[in-house]
Formats: sequence, C-alpha cells, structure tokens
Amino acid sequence: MGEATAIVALVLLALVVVSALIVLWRRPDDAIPAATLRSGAATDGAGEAAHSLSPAANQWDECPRETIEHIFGPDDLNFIRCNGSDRLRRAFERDRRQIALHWVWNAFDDTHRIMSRHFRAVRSSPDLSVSLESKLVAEFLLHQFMCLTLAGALRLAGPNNLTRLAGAIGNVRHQVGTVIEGFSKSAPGDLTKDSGLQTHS
Amino acid sequence: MFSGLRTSTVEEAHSDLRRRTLAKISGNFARLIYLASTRDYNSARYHHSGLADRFSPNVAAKALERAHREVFRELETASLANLAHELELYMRSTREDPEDFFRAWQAVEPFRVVVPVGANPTSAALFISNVKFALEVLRSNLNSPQDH
Repeated sequence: MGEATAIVALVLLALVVVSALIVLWRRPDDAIPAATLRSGAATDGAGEAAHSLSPAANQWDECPRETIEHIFGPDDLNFIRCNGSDRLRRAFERDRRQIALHWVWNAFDDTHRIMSRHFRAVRSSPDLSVSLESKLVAEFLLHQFMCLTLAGALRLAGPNNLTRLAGAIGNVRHQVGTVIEGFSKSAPGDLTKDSGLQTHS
Repeated sequence: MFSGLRTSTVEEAHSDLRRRTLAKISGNFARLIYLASTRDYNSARYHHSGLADRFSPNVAAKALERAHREVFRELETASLANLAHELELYMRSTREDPEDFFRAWQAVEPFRVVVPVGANPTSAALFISNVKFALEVLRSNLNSPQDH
C-alpha cells in the first residue's frame, strides 16, 4: 500500500516537473525578454510595445492591483464582445494572453532574482535563522509553483477569470517581501531594493 | 524620489498645476496628452514656463512628472469601457474629423509616447493595448452608429 502511494506520488511529481519543463521550454515564444523590451520596435502585439519605455530593469513602478484585475478579469472582454467583431475579440484575447504571460514571467523572474540575492547575502551570515529561512523558501517555492500553474492555465484557457490565482500570486509575493524585510532588519543592506517585491501594503 | 528638493515645495507646485492648469482640461486622456507634451523628447525632462517661474525649473519638472504618473495611473487602472469613453471625450475635444482622427491615431500611434518613464512594463503594455482596442471599437461604432 505504502509502495503504491509512493509510486503515485512519484508519477504526479514527474508530471508536474514535465509540465513545468514544457511551460519553460516554450516560454520564449510568449514571454518578452527584457533586452528586447527596450528596443522600441513597433510590433502588432501590443504586449511587446510598451517595454521600450522602460529605463532599466527593476526600476519600474509596481504593477497596480487594479491593472492585474483588469488583465485577468472578464469585464474588458465582455466590453469587446458587446462592441466588437469576432475578429477583434480574437485579437483581444491573443493580446491579453501575451500581457498576462508577461506579467507572470516577470513575477517569476523578479522573485527568483531577489531570492538569489538574498541567499548570496545570508550565506555567510552568523545570524542565520533556520525557521525564517525555511519559511522564506516555502513561500518562494509556493510562489514559483503558482506562477507555473498560472502560466499553464493561461496557455490552456487564456487570462479570463483567473483573477483569484493572479491575486494569490500577488499576496504570496507580498509575504516573501515581508519575510525578507523582517530579515533585512537584522542584516545590513536592503535586500528588497530594486527587487520589485512589495514590502508594504 | 524628490531628493534634493523640498517635498513641500513640490507639493505646492503640484497642487498649483492641478488647480490652475489640469482642472481646466476636461478628461484624463486630454490631461495625459498635455502632460506628456511638457516632456522633452530628447532629455525626457519636463518643462512648464509658468510653473518654473513661480517655483523653479527643477520643482516644476518634478511636479509635472508626478502629475503625469498620477494621471497615467488613473488611466492604466481604468476598465476598457472607461478608457474608450475617455478617448472619445478627447477625440471630440480636438474637433478633428473623427475619421481623420482614427486614421492618424492608428497610423502614427501617438499614445505610445505618453507613457511616463518608469511605468511598469505590464501596465504600459496594457494601456497601449487598451487604447488600440478602444480606437477599434470607437471607429466601428462611428461606421455603424445604428448598431449601437
């Protein structure tokens, strides 16, 4: 019985890993690399356009919660359905999917970056708190897993009605920021600086 | 953000700008276009003669930048329906022929240069996408008014 459970768990784990690898492998098609975001090239995909305006990586304002709600909510799509043609609706859905994926990968990358910086900073710290670090790792893994789940859901169904999952990612990001802020109070340097993580609500 | 300048002075310049200038412009889209037009294309520095005379060029620039970010934020967080409404208000305020307006805006895409520096890339992308779709909807409504 115990052996069967272990096999099922292993199969599920393998499925998750394979799914994550598929998502990551196909990522360059949808995600917009930071280097190209500043190229200023006009494209049909509006999702690619605005990045030319960014001054430098990690010097951007935080994406407002209302914006995320619009990306993943149904209101704008309903407006297009009522006022536009099928062709316009399809273009809208394609555009929104691109923008949503871009947001997700940004969240994924930002959090990965701040965690790498954090681990580099604490590696030699004499005041390492195991419980705090464990909590941080758990929050980080949860965040990254939710990002992958959301990216998968976006590929399958588009951003419509995924507001809750996107909001949950925002909340976990906030928690990661709070934990790091708690750590940085006892360690030199502001680890959340330029990270894109919100440490205050 | 306002290092080197007294925050209270920037606050005063900002409220002065809102009261004397922005309050007289109807609609956030028109305000956004106006504020973006006070930013130099080459240096991305803001300039407003009246405000600079009353305060200082630096304070005026900071006040304009702040107002630009605020107005952009209001529009980036608006629903597509509200943005389309704002865009329509702006289009009417220009007194251009609507067909000419749509043709120019869809060809030149001037809305791409009204995004403040430092705006979140996702927000900026959403804003640009929304303006493009709002233009499409408004144009189709113009061409088939009996349907709407």
